[in-house]
Amino acid sequence: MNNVNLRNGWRLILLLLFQVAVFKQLNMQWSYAVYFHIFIYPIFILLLPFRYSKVVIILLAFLMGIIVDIFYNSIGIHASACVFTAFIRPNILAINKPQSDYDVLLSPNATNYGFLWFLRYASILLFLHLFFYFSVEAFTFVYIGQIILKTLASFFISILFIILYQFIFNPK
Amino acid sequence: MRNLFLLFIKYGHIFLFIFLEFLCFILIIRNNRSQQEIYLNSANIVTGSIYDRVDKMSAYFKLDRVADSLANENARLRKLLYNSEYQSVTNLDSLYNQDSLFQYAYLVGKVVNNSINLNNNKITINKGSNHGVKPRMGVIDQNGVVGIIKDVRKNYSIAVSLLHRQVRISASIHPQGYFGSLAWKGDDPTIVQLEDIPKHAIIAIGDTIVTSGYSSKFPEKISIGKIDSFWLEQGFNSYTIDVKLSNDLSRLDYVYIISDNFKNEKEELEQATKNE
Repeated sequence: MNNVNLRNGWRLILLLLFQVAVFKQLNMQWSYAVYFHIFIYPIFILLLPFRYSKVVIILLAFLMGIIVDIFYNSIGIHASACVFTAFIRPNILAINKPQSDYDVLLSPNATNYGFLWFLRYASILLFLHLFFYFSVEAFTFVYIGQIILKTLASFFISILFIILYQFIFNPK
Repeated sequence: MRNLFLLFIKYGHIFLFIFLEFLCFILIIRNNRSQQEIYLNSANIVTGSIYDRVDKMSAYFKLDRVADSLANENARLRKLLYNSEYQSVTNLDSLYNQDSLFQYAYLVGKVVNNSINLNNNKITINKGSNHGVKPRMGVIDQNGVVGIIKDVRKNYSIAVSLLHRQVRISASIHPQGYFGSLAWKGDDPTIVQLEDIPKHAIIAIGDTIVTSGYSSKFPEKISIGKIDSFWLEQGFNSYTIDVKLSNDLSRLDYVYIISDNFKNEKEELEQATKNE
């Protein structure tokens, strides 16, 4: 129990560091950065264990979002996307159920349920997260084309890093 | 209470989600300039459209007052029309004096009682001597002649309508200018008869009948109706003309009572020369 909490705490700090210190800087250096945003931090919400209640997951997501927002100087935007992602996570898990049901003691990751399952699960949530984020960022659906373009571009680059993260930190 | 508690346990995450999204929304519009501008603009659009609707609805309830004021406005405008002016233009050498006085004033009244199917029909109007109405003033509505004021009390007056057997109105055929007197025969409330049009007059069905302006009750060229049919009675020297009224006397609402500012002067003059 303690071990699990500790692991998630460390993961939170590590991902924040990655996001803020590496990817944000990378973004600013790169000239196509308008469309390509690398989002690694949603994986924290994705990997929270099953035994955490929905309320706890939403609160943790909000906490993470607010911290990211403080560094991105965009108070509320990441937080609202995180809260949204945490809210729909149970629904995505439900529609993506593997043959053997979920084990309440485990976490939804590639080691437990296989790479393909994780790819599906992560893709859906990440895509929704990004779409929500860019919608809130634009704050209007007038530029829906831009929103979709940004979502797609950022999705393909972010999912690579998320899978990479899975392979590095959850070796078989 | 227990049910409420259970409800909260079951759906607590939904409440939390809504609450946090709302919180984020407030944080966003407080701290982010561009989102704030979009929010304020769209808020204006939304409230603007709501105000618009409320305004349209309340306008509907104000319609009767608007109609009143429009009728007043019309009376004022009619006062400015050419045929309500008494031309005092005088040509003295090369001096051209454009002064003109208003001969006719129009007072708005609302018809509060009306009949069309009696032998002698009368109209009650909600204006009386308090408002300056006097007997023998003309009454018109927006489409044409209605009648003549007969009796006046403080706040109400009675007008005999065109559909009254004793009413005679001086009318002429426009633009030929032959004139005769108009009377109702007592059957069809949309038809009155014009008499005394001489035999040599060239007239046709559809010609316009207007007031002649010879009596001081009506200004000239106020519409009365159109010629419906005409014939020559055996042994008479004048046509009898059926005139289809241009207004519908069964649906009167707002009427204008006409007062002639020079009535006394004209009548005194005519009276003075009557016996010569």
